Amino acid sequence: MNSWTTFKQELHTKLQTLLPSTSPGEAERLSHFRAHSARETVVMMLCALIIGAGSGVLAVSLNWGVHFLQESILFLPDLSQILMPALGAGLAVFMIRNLLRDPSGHGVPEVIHAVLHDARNLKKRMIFSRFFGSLLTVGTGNSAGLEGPTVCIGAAWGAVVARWLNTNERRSKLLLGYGVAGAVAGIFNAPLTGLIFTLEIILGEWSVLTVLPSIIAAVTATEFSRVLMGNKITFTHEFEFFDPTSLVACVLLGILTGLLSIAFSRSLSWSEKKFHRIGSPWARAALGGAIIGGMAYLNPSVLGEGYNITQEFLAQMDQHTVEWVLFFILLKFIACCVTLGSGGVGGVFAPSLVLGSAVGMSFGLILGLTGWEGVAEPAAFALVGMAGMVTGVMHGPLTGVFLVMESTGGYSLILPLMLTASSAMVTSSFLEVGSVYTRNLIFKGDLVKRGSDQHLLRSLSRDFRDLLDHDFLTVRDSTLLGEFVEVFKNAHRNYFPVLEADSDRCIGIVFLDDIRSYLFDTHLYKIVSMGSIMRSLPTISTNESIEEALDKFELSGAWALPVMDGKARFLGMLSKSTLFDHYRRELQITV
Amino acid sequence: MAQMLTIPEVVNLLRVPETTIRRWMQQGELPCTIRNGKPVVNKATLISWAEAKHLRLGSSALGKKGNLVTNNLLAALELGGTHYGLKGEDRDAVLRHLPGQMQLNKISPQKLETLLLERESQSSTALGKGVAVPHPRYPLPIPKSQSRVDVFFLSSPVEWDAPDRQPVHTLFLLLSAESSHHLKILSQIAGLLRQAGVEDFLQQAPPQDELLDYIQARTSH
Repeated sequence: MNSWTTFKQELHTKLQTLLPSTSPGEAERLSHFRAHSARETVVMMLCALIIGAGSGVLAVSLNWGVHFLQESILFLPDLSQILMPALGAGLAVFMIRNLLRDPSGHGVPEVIHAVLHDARNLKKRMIFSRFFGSLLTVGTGNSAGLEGPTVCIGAAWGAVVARWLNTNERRSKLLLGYGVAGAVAGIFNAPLTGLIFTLEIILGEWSVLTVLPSIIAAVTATEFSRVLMGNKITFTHEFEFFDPTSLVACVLLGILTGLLSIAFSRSLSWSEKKFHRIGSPWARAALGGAIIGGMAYLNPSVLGEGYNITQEFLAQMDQHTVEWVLFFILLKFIACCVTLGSGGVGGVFAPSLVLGSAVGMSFGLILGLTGWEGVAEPAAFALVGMAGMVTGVMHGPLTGVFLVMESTGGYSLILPLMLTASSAMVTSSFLEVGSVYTRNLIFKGDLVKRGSDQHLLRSLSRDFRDLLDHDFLTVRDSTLLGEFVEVFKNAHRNYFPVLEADSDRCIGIVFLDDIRSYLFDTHLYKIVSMGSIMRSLPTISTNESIEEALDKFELSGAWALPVMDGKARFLGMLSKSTLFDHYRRELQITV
Repeated sequence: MAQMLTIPEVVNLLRVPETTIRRWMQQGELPCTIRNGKPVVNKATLISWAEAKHLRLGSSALGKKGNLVTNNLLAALELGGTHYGLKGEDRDAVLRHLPGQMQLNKISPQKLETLLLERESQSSTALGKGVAVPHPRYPLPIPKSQSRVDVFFLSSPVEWDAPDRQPVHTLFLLLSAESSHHLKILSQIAGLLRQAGVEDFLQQAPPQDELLDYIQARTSH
């Protein structure tokens, strides 16, 4: 154990010497333009290699576990098959809440929140809770995806590595992102999708340090997935040339999927609200599972992730009627809302893909009925619909395009994909603020873009106390002008906080500028007390946000304001100039 | 017709330097039109623009009427009043009777009494020559720039712990709105007291207009 600790310490010091310090001097100005230090990039790429391997293996084993569970259930008698979803979902939630004590919700919003605010605090137990939770939930046939949980697992694994290497906040965020890239790449066997997903949806930032290591993580994870599971292309299909009419139809399909994605995410939150009337989380999930079981009794196609149905659409497109596909959309829609709304452990990725493919399929079939010449085959629209739906739900057009492109193993669909994704994105963002992942964060005011002003200010206010001026002198409200003259001789600052005579409460500030011309009027020495000439200013409390503090500066026009702790004890003065100094420093390190 | 604002007016409204306003106009951030060769901004447009950009408008320009600034003794006396025959056998009793004699708004007589007594307990506000300048411990929440001085002539002189040990017969109650007013008015009172014959004049308890004339002749602004 001891040698292990020393090894870790040595590793940390080694990392410190390898990674550049953040204070730029004259000579380092040039390196600012060198798109980050190459050395840092190499170190981060090495970290990404470890993370990608880990999250790839985790993603593959989750995928394999779910399929194993699904196949073993098939051997059970029919009646118990119907009960399995309820059992699985209830057990999963019970395990997560009561045994692993992980209260988090669907997961991906928590990951985004962690990336924005405190990357290093993402709990290790999330790996276990998501792994076994989604294994039980999806493996027993509940209608949700594995991708959401996999993203959480990858991110939590990245956070574990970040804590282990003791990296700073900024690099921890990056490591989280690499974990996600590996996880998505591993589960889809699609490296580009992993890369794009993490850049577009999780990190939201395109730079050398986000792109290159994410590539490494995605490649590593994909390679692990191919070695362990074989290089399977999810949806194999060859396509003919897409004629201009079909391209125009793709815009329509984009609008359609955009609308459906809004309906989907709104129904999700509606059903979540309805299910919340049931107090116990595991009973809620079990009820959701029971409903799925009942639905599966009528039509087993709603069970599980639903990729098998999508594959059927593509392989045997002539065997499906429009009515059947529309009915399937309705059933799958309800099933996903039930599973996810009841708190089942799963993601919206797979449901969006399956629903999108069904919408595209029915769209293609209906187009075929109109008897247009040369219109593309329904299966092509099914694939394009997937991209549209993913874009609409997640607000990630590139993720949608690349995912479908990679999982069909071809470039032939790129034009319709891009058109559909764009029109779905426009439609969805017309009617809805934020994606299914970010909406709640936006409402809570937690979605702050990295590198933006607000983000910098937030990082400043996290340690308010360090920003305070301490080199000032205080006076009591009973101090007379004559006594003040003695105090002022030793002062560095031109303001003097006035503390109440019998407590440490700051009740106002005396500004030297206000009293300068009376300072040597000896007739006033014995009659002017500080209490009567102080200015009463708004005070800033340490638990306030920096925005509120800045508002107070603006409203009062003051140059420095007193800061109090929760018990109204005076801590120091926060001045605009100090704030600006720190802001600049913060700006330098994030460039 | 829409009200058009020139650059200086916009500067006033937004409290941003003129160069910044011009830069915003050049960058096309701030919507403006050219009239008579000068850029002007529609006021309604500017207000909604500022709202959209989360800029706060200066209060001065939003149609608020400026208050009369009473930052000198004479103006403050005119705003206050003169009161005669204030009773009380000692300092505290006088201060307890005092708030009941005057018109107060925004502060209760009890609150004023407490604050005056607290201030006296810290140190005496007597200036000598039979004059004291009682004032509250903290500035009061009175309308901005509306400092007032009320003169009270006591029915009988009382002990006030004065530097020259003389009993006090006249009070200049000072309710200041800002620290600069407080200091200016106090120094004017102190300056007044340094002149010869003031003590005798005040002991007669002169009527308000005589008092104002007397002070006007002897204070510098």
